[in-house]
Amino acid sequence: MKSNRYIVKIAGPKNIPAFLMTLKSAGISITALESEKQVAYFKTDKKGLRQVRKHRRKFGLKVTVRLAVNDRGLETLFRSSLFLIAMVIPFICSFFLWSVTVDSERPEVSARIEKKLREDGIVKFRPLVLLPDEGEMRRELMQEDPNLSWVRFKRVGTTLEVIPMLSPVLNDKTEKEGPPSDLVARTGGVVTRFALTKGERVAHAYMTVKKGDLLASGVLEQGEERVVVGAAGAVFGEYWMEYKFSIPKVIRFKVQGEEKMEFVFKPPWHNKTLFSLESLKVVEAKSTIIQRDAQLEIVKGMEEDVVIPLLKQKVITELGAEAIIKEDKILQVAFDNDKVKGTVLFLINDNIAIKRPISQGD
Amino acid sequence: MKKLFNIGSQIVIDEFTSLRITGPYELVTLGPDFAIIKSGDYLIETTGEALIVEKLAEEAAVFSFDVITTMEIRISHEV
Repeated sequence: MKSNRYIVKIAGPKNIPAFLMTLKSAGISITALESEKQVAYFKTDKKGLRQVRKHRRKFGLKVTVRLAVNDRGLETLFRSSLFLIAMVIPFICSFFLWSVTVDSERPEVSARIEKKLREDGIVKFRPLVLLPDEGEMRRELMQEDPNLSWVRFKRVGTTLEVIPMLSPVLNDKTEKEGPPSDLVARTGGVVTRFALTKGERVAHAYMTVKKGDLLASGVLEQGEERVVVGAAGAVFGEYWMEYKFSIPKVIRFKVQGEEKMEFVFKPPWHNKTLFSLESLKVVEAKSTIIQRDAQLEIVKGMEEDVVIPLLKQKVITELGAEAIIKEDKILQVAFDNDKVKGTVLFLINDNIAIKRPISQGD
Repeated sequence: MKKLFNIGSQIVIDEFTSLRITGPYELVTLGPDFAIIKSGDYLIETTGEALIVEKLAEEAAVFSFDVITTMEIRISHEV
């Protein structure tokens, strides 16, 4: 609907009404016509302008044309295609994500989250329709970073703000600040590495120590001065541990059996409310998993495959997370009527340091 | 607007300041403060102050004045 308006000035001795009538019969729209003695002004469009030029000679009129720029008015603005485009551009833009920000005080956390968001395709200029569900995004982010206790999403228009909530730092290592102490070996072994937080090393790596040997000193000495700071931390060492066991010969347990899928056809007309979401589910699927009893009997030859892994699990849970079993050796195994007894040697790498208070004399 | 309903000429005077013609008409003379229009067999001469022809389209015309001083409708004898 682009129609430029022109202001036409016609001047001539007479014939002005006749000229206007000719234009009129040609179907030209003439507006805001003003006439003075021998001059008339009016507004017309492009089509009208062509007709004016065509007929002016015949009537002997002088024509001046000027573009009615100042007077195009709001009407022309709203009608023009440019206006339409100007309206459409923001409208189209509103379908895309324009900014993704991560609001976190810790830069390493926001960097991690930004990386994850990029991997998931939550980036700028992505159509909003294709954004995954909020819960799904949250699950993805929280899976990636165990420090997060919750992730909040704030979506305002085309901006997405990700606000990670960090779980409170648990100070589970608040050891009781006992009296300053040294670290000594609780068992004999070979020192492999130090993880001291305080104190000075006395032993060194690959040194064989006996039970009660000093591993780290809590006393710093510099020349004459002697400062008691106390030693803390862990000293890892390898040692052999003899483990006697006695387990039942027959182990009973439950295993997951087959999964049974049952499809029930539900005709939608049987539903009370037709056209509800429920009635759309024509086929209902039920799945049941059957549990089966099983038993394992330990016989000769199963020591390596069954007994050792079982014992390893047990030892690890007894010793703690830091312990690693490096080797195992079966010393002897005896099969009873209903029990399996035996002795196994485990080479264990674990924290061998325990604290021993420093006697300070006074 | 174009002949949605084919009606005869209709001449309306709004608020005694503007003259509106719908239907076939012919502009006979246009002066600075008067306009003579022919519609059917009739000649309509309107005189007033500050004449502006707001619209002059194929089958519609609007003449507006500040004040209409005289208005005369007579049968036209011209052939």
